[in-house]
Amino acid sequence: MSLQSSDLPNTHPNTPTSSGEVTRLLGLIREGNRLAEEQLFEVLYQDLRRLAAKFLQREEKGQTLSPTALVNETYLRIFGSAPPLIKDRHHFFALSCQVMRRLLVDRARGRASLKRYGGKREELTDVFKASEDSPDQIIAVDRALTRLSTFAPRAAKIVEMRFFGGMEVSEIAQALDTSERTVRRDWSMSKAWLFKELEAITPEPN
Amino acid sequence: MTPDRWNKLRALYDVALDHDPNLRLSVLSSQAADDPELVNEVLQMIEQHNAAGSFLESSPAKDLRDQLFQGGPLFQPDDRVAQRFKIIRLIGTGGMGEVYEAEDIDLGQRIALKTVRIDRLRDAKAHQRLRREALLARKVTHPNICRIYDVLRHQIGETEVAVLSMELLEGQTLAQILKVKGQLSPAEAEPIIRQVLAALGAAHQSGIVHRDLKPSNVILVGSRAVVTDFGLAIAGPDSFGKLEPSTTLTLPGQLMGTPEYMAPEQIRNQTVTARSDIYALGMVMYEMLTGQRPSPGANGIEEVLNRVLEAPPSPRTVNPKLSRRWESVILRCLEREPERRFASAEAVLAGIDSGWHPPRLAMSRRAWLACGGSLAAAGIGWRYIDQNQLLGTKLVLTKVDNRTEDHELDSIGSLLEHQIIQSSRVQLLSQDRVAQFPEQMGLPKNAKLNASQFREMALRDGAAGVIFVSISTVGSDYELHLRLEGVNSSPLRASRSWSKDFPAQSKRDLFTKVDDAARWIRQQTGESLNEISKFDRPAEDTTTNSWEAWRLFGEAKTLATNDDLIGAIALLTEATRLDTKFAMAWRNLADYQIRRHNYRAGYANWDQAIAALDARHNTTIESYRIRGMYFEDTGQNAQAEQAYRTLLALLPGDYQAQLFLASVIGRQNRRNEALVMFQALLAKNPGKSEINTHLIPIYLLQGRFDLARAAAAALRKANMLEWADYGEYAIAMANGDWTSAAKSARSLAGSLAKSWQVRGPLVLASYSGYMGELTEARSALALALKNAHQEGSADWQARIPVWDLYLQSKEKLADTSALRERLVALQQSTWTPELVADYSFVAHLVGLQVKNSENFWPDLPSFSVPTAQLSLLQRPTSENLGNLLAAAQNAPYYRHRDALEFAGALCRHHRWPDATITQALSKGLPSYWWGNELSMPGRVNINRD
Repeated sequence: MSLQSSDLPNTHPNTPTSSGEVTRLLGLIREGNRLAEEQLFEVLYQDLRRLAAKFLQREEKGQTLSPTALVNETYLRIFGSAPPLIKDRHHFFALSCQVMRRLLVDRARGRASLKRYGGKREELTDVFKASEDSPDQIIAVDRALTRLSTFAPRAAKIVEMRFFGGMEVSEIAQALDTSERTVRRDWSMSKAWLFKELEAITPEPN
Repeated sequence: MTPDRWNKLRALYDVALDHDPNLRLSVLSSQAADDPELVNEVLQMIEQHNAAGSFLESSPAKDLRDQLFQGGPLFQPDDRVAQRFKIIRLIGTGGMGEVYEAEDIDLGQRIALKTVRIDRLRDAKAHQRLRREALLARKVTHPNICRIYDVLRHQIGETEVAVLSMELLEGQTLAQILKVKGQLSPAEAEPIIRQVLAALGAAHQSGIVHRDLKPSNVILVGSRAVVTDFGLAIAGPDSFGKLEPSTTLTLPGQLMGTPEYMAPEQIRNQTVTARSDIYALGMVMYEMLTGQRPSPGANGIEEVLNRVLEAPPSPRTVNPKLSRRWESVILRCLEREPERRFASAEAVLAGIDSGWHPPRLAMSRRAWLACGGSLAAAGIGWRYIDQNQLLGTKLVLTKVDNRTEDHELDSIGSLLEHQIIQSSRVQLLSQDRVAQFPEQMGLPKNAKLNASQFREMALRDGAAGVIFVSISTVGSDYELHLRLEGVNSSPLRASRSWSKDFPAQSKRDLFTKVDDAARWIRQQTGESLNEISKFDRPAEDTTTNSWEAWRLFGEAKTLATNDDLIGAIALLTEATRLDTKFAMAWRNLADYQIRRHNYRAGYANWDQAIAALDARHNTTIESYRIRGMYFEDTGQNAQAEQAYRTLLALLPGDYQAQLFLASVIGRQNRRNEALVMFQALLAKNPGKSEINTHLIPIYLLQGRFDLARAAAAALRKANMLEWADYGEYAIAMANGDWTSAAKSARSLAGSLAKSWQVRGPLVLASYSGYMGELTEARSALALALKNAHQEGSADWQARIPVWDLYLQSKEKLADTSALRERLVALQQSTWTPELVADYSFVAHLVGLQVKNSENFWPDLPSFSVPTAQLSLLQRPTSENLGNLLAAAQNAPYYRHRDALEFAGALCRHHRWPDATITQALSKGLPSYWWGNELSMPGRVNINRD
């Protein structure tokens, strides 16, 4: 089926996304429409950002905000009492993880460029804390992951959902409609491959 | 890798993991017997998986707070903050939040906004700390400290965000510069260090410790260094300079500050004092001058521990070229025991200065040089003009309406001016500008302007208001009346007006009243009383307590502006007789004498100026101005540069200081740097055509004749006819355009301007001597001599007979031995660098041996080139050649070239090969006609030999 641009929702960043629109987009995606997927991605990106900002403003000190909580919140806000098909639901979470990945990478890029610009971000943290989640590391993982997806799309998706989306193995298995064992094995092999990739590009510290 | 390959690996990977590690190799080998490489890869992958450990296990998204928002920008471009600021862009992220460039919509100016992170704002302590930061930092107003304007509140949803507005600094951080350049030379680093020290000194005096000094907190805006982020500064309860750590704001176990630069006691969480900043500064200096911090290669914690446990290695182990002076200053800053460090920023300055070795002549008499740092230390009264604040506080000070019969009191205006400009807020339109205005309006030059004409002047020059001053007598008392008017649209009326009377019981009492009046003006512009009292010095101290002396001083200035240096010298001599401690008068006297080439008298006046400086508290600004001019006049260009830079840090935008700075930079042969400064200065002050006289020699050196011609034309347009002629003469000579050169030289010889009465005819004598037109040369020389006698200029009178001998040698009317005897008879008692140069050339021509063994001339850098030239003439050895080239290095640029040309001529004469000199010669030639007319003939003759 062909898709007219008028079929797509208006994704003004400040308009909360309606469940109808999302459900319709999910339907289009299920039919294999890539354009709709991109469109939904944009919708979710704006929504997650907005939601996270709100969430952070009212949270209590010391409370952490997990991506799962955020995605769940987004999900509830969008669909509320009219949940979509199970398959669409899983697709929604998978896509949300992709959105989370972009959010995190964008932030990391911002922070990395600040760092290069000479901003004062890297102070105590960088010196005293070995940084698994340093901006450079996040960017490097993102790049390697994109390479991985060219020959191992499922494995890459799993890494995306787990590393960037913070999802549990069981959730990933459900969303991807596969076994937990497969998810674990894919994860462990991708991890090995990514580790080697990153090692090759990251100079040894001292 | 291909999907196919990955799938095969993946399948084998599954198999491998299903088996015991010891069996894996054999199982896999049997399953993929055809592809041993694949087996190998799978096994490697398992190894990698084991090696990877916790890699990727901790998701960056585990806590989105950290990842998404803590470091992320709170505002986007075009966002409005507090209804007043428009965000332009994110500049950086700091210890407490983000920094944005923003526009202050109300005032239409760019500022910086610093936010406090949302999540941090929840933390009451962080909030408290921010407020304190702002309150403290606002206490310090200093050109080398980033200025904080205000603390604002901004509402986002239900959350309130605190935002600091502060001075926007457009420059690079020292960290960025070090990253690019690696390290800095001492000459590059010193001005930065001095400014950072000035900032620390001021902050410490207000009871503020920075606690986090590091290269990324020092921003360089042109040559100005600004210390930012007093963000962790916490002052103790005692605000009188005794600094106590305040632990209430530091959470237990929380390090505040950047560990790489932190003092040991700070790392140990012990008492933090001003000396902790001195330590951090030591680290910054170490890094600037060696390109690294002590114990490089160690990781973060190790590096820090090394510094806590051991004394750092000397910076000279890294950079052996570093002087002992820097080594000792840095190591003393880096003492691990705070008590062993310098006690204050001023003490560090003194330490830096104590390495100075003033020239022999100066050493005996000027102990003040050695304690140059304490001068700076005494300069608590930082006065400066913050350019951000000038909007709205530029004022026109009108001529005093003197309604008394006493003309001495005319000078009250300049005294008031002097007191007002000590302000950090008010900038007065220059008196030159005020004087030019009538002509610009098509009125006679000395026309008395009325109020609306003054308002128009203010409007045209973007001043915010006009100060009217009158003085009258009431019985035996005096009354000083001031009216301050604001202007905004029409010259016909003031937008607002304030006035105040200052009655004085006696003429003497008027000094106090002038102080009061100046203070009143400053208060009207929003300067706080606290600030005023801190920076203020009474007029009697900074100037003179004698009205008459002050009046003479002012009149002398006017005469000097009109080129009557002799008249000015007479008035100043009288002024200094009335008040022997009048430093500014001594300074001008020295300056004018040296401008007239009367070096001996000039140096004697400098001694007096400096003695007066010691005797009375002068303003910091005047001290530096006097110091700079003294150094400049004695050819100590690097020191002069330093003094002018300090002066400019105190008085950014000061025209005279900028002009002096550019010219001492030019004298150090940094031509391009000087050129850029002169050009910028001219662009900013289009009325100051005199800048063209500095531009011409540089353009000539660069062979940019069109630009030189344009500069000469600008001089002509500005009615500076002699300088225009002189420029055109130099350009024509450089181009071999003899006709034009002759025209300009003859025009100069006929000049009636006082300062050209001798110089003008000498230019013509020079020209015609060079061209072999000896009759004209003779008559020009005679005119020069006559005028020199009339002017009573000892210097010119001494030089002309030498020149005469030169012409005699060309005329060949006497034999060499007779000429030699005549030259010996000319033994001088007063030597100037020019005279030494002239004398040595002629001495060479007539084969006379001259030595400086009796110390005819002072041992100062401006004399070193002619002295070395003379030695080389007498003993043409390579050692003497080396000495000359060394002397040239520190010489004014025209003398530098002079020296090279001389050396080149001699090398050719003796057939010494020296490619460097020949090359230098070809570059130096075009501007050789500028400022060298007197020593030229000798050189020409040598060239022809």
